[in-house]
Amino acid sequence: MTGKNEHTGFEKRMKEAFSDFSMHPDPAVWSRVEKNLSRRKKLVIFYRAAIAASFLLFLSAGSWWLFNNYRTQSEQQLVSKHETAQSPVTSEEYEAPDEVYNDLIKEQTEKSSAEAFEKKMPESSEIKPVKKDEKITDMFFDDLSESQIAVQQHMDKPLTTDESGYIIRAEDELSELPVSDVIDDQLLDRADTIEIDVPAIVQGQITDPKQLEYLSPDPDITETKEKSGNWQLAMTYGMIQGSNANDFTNVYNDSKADFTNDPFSSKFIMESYQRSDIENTTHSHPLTIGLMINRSFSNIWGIESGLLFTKLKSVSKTEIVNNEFIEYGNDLYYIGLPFSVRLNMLHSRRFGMYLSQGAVLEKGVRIRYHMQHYVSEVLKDSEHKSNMVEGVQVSSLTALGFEYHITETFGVYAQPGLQIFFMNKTQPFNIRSSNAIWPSMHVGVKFQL
Amino acid sequence: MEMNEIIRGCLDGNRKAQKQFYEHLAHRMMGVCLRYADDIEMAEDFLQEGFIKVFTNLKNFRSEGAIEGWVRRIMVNTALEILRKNDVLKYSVDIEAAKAVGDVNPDAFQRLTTAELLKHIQALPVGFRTVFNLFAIEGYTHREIAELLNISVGTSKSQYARAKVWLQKRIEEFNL
Repeated sequence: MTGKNEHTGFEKRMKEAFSDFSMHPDPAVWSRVEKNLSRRKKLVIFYRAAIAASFLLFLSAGSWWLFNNYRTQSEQQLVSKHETAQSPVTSEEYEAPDEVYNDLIKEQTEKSSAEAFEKKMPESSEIKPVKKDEKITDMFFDDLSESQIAVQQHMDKPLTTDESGYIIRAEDELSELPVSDVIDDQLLDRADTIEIDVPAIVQGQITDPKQLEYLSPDPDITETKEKSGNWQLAMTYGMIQGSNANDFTNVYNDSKADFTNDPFSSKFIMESYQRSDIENTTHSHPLTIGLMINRSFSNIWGIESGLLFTKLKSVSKTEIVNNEFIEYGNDLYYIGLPFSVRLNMLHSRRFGMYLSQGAVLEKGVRIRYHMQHYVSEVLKDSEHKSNMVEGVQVSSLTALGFEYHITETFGVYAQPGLQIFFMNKTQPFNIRSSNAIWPSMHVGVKFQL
Repeated sequence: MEMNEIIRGCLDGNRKAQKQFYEHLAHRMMGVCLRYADDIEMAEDFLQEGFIKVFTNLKNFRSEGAIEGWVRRIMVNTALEILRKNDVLKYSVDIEAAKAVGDVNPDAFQRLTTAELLKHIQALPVGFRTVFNLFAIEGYTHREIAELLNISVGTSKSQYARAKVWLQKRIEEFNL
């Protein structure tokens, strides 16, 4: 058979004989297929959910540990400084870390704020008394079967088949196939005599234009595949709940915020250590809006980036003494550059679920302070100030995203997650200073580009 | 419903679309499975496993060829996988090749119905039957068959030649 088409008239005759051969299977076969598919689907969802839950749990535990470790180190550093300054130190002093801590901070803040706040609030102000608004602030394979099918190496070969699934080969390809080795030549010669001349279709040649129809890609399916691998633009709105605290030791943890170069906050923090002075501090829910761009490299993973604008607002109010109280507040504005990698867990035409892990780099662009003195709920005087913000805020964001495609090009999504802020003592006092780990929630719309 | 819509429905996990897809192809795929199986029950097992693989891998279907051809390849590979897993191919009994073929009547096959031809093919020992199916009907080359069944190219050619002679002889006897 050297140098000639392995498949001769006999084989063609056989193909023709079985080309339309069919037999209806027992209806029970479909029931079994259906049952198996249901079980498989449940298993896939269970495994993916288990992986996601494990990941989030691991991340949360790790974050909690890091956070606590960080706090402990900070406190140890403060105690160490105090030890150096007031040696020898008695054991009684260690038994009262809060006092040591507070004394030292008071000492630091008083020093830094002494100069800046020597000029106290103007005794007389030209601002007309205004009635104080009662509203103080605006306050969730390839899978198993793929690995099985991967065993079938030939499935992945780009074989061209006809409508019935028979392999079609070009003449050139056939002539290049190596021919065998050692076989019973006599037997083969006899076998070759079993030729039936049925030259209906010569392999490698297209004799009927209809044969070309199946070779053309299905435009609809091709279109879907292209879209699933392209760009997405998302408009996002981020929010988390605000906080209202009366426990000042937790709220005003000065190891996480920069007060030394921030006279306004220094005054404010100094006030806060005189516990009786501050009645409460309220952080409005951070507001984030932005544009996100997503690039999917496959149905499995992609990357995401964009630009975020965040506004933080905090207001602290002193206790009312003699019908007087002071309100300290700041509005902080950030421009953020997020970058994340997303792993698709469920992917269908309508619904998608993914896991996202990334980081956000935020640069504070402006902080506006206000200090307002009220007497009998009437604004007596006030002071406003605006400053640049130095340094950057880095955070990690782990989220589980859910998206629903209303049309092929438009959809909505929700992305709950956990954001961990890495405090580097460069940022003014804000909601993140009081607690470095916050839940996050981003919702928005997505456009397929 | 158009096939493209059915496929999309299947991709979304729509059970109704999956059933339509199954009903559209099951009888023809049963014809394929029957050639590799000893009996109907075994063919239905091939069919069941094959369709499960089809549905779980439909997302990998690229529309370069017809869906039927793609499904047929999965059916054939599923049958081979099950046969291989059960070591059926390894322990397939040998056949005694015909010592002489003599003149062949080209009309011999034409007097047979496909069902009768299938019966003769099913009578072949599984190893020979598999090689025969892959080469004569599916259109694989001996080199590809060798890779699929983990045998040498020579063995594939030899088994096919012997199966062909054996089948020819059996059909001649049947026609007498």
